[in-house]
Amino acid sequence: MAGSVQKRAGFKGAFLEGWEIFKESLLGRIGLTLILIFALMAVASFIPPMIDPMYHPMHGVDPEISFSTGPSLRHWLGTDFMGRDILSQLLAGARVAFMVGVSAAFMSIFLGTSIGMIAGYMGKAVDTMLMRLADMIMVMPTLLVVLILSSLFGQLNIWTIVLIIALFRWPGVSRVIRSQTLSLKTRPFIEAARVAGASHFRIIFRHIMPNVLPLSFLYMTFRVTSAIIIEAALAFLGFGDPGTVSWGMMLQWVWKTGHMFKAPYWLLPPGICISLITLSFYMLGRAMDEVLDPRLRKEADAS
Amino acid sequence: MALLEIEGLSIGYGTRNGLLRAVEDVSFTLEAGGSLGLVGESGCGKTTLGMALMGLLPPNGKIMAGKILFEGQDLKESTEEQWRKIRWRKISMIFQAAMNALNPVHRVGDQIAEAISTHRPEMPEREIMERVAELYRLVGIPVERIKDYPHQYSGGMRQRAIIAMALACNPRLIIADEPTTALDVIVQDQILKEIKKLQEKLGLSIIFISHDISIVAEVCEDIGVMYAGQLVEWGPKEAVFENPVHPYTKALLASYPTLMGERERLRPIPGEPPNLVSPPPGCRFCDRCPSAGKSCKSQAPVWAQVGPRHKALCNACS
Amino acid sequence: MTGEHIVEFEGVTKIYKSKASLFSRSSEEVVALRDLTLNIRKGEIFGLVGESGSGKTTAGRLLVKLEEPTEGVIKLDGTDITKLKGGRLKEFRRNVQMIFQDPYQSLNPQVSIFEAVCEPLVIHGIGNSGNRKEMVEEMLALVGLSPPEDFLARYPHQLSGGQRQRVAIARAMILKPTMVVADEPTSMLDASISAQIFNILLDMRERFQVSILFITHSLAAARYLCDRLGVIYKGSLMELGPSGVIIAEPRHPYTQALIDALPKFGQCGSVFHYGTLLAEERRGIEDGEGKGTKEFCPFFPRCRPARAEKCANAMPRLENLSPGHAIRCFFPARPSLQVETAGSSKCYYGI
Repeated sequence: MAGSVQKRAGFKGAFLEGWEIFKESLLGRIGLTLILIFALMAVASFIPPMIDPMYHPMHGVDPEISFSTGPSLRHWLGTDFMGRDILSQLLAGARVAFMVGVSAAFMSIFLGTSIGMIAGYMGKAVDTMLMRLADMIMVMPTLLVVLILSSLFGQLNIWTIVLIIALFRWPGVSRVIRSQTLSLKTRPFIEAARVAGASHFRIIFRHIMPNVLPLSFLYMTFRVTSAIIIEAALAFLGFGDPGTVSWGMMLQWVWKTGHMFKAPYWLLPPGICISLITLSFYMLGRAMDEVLDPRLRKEADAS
Repeated sequence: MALLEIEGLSIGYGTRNGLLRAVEDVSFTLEAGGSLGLVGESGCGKTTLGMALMGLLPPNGKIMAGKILFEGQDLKESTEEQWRKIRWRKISMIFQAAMNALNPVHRVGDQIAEAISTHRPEMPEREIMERVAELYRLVGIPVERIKDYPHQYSGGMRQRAIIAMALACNPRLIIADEPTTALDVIVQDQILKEIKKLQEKLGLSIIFISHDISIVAEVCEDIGVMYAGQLVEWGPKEAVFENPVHPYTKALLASYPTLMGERERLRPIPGEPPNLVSPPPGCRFCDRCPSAGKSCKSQAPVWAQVGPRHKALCNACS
Repeated sequence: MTGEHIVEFEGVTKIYKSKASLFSRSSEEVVALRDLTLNIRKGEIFGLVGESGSGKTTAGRLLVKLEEPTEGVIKLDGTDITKLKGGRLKEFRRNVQMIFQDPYQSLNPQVSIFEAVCEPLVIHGIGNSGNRKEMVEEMLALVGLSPPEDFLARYPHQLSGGQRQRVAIARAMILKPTMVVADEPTSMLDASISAQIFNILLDMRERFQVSILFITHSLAAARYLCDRLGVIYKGSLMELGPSGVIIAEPRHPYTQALIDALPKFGQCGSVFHYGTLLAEERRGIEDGEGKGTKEFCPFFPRCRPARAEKCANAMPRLENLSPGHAIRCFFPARPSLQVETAGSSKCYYGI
């Protein structure tokens, strides 16, 4: 028990303490910084069209340029094959990445946590049914299914894509939450709640959920990365939402218009961004792991 | 020359909030063949002391001052290499929750054999197996059980196996840290009697660490009472029980009921132990002490000699 | 319906079945409680004393309906509780509460002390947001957590084991139940803290006239705290009666063995040693072969005064030796001629 005394109380206190530990992790600091940069990019994506309509990522065409050019004072990263500004596309892509990543992750975690808790707590038939369902979904390759759906129904709206990602990605986290719930179920404080007369609903949401939520948040960071990659892959393969500018979409355009080896200023930025954002969320997740699991922390030296 | 001499030992832990002074200026001696019980509440420093005697302090623990003289040599400066020669061969330990120290996937006999071969690599295997059988006879486990797995042993048997492991290399000193928690009353009694019998038979020295003075009394000749990192009373068990001097010792003894006579209300000690990161300057027991004097709060207490081998750390007691 | 007894166990049996697995061909049965019959009087502190595997914890869990008996009936104030459902079950929960053994696990780490103690009030709709805080503070003060305001916002990990157990008691008592089961409430606490907890339980009984089922492995603790006690071994009661009588004049060999085994200090040289425990278990009873319909006294293998002709062939019945003092033994000890020696009242026992 020595050395793990939390000084401040409650969620806020736990958060502040967690923050202290998080700050000490190099991975956490780098990850968080990168994410903040991308967030700034996303916010800044609204600026270029306001400066001049020609900077609009989708529709903005430079009246004077109608082909791909390299970086210049006018277009800091150059233009794409239609004369649209690459930098504003990059910024818009950041916005899309966050939207897709965070919403898909959030939805799948919400689903996964609820289902996991209910399966773990109720046990028996409910548990078996839900977990068989999870198994079935888990073995289906998400990307393939989406591709099939797209080819059946044509191009999909970005939010449909988000929904599908969420629907296919909840099983993973539900298994983890379920086993966490199973082990919590036998803990004396749960029995104490039963003896006090608490309803199942109360026990699940008041007692089990708060103890399971940290794990959910951790998994959410991992889900963000996979959501972003799936969306990018879809867009790259031509199944993305044609009305949205994402990094995957940019890569698709580079490829399709044959500029892969001719325009590094166009090819590299979206590729690097995809890699970096997934890396940064991963680092965030790792740092959070240290916060959540006291055994991974390093104690101060006695000196 | 005494087997073990602790002089002014102080141990601290580095924590996020500062240095935690877990053990403060503790001194005592243990003669060869003697048995000492270290008693105190959780957090009083007794386990830390035990770990220090095996060189097993965690990375953030450090001996701040003092000496640990074992057979005349100061162990404080020992390197890991030197500790490896001492651990198990000269000093061995029965840890808290020792029953979980057995690996469930290996046979018990093999685990004991491994403990021997790790610390005496020169011993041939046949001799090791003979030694294991001898140990089993010594601690009272039927020899047929050597090939069994831990889950096939009862709680009491597992504890005996742990004791056998501690005795494997013929140590001179055994440190037993709460070796009977989680054991039933009858088994506990048997184990304590076994430990006492072995101690007498093999001439072992024992340091028995527990929060429960009644358990320690079964096995030990001397008692040391610890509070908030300090040794507050020390002496032969009869002297301490008959004439407890330190108010903490008195209060500790008053927490136990009798079986006969009037049923009196026990008078437990109110309050909680002090924060060891910033301990009070004077006596650490002051704010819970029913007989605190005026200067107790500000002046550190000094040792008062009560009997030929009986002393107490107190300014207000004489 | 009111009578003298708040709780009645009538022929309660609890059998645990473990399912057949890869390692055992058939399902295994563990008989945790066998035909348990006992009553607890109103306002009484009743001790159930036994070692691990004796069934004492199971009895407590059956009483709070964390589990259901395989056979038999449990009554609370005359009403059969085994069939309760819905609203009446909730009503039952208001009246029977439990204090758990492990103070480090019986409080939700994410819930503040105030919320933990207040929760039963919320569940049963007692009070309102206005006066609940007061009720919680009053309870915290009664269990010795003073000043109560200081503790409301804290979380379990900021409290010591003893403090946590006080919170558990406050939580159990806030509904002013008629019956509380205390399942080894001090076995994970230091000896000096245990005494504090015992005194709080005595205070609760005095103040609220609550009846307490105190489950423990220590006869000394039971003698201190309880009015009557029952000694249980392998699922069956072996001896039952007023605590003073049983401690001073134990008649069952197992009770005597438990007293012998108690750790003690002080002037104990003159304490009488019963010596009823065999150093090694007797062999010669084939149990488990051919699905034992063979009945025998469970203590026989370790019992010195036992005689195989009777003890290995039949299960003795729980019968009264004198009014209020029952024993399950073919050869109960004769009343001892031991006179209380001067030293034994200066001999102190571990709890």
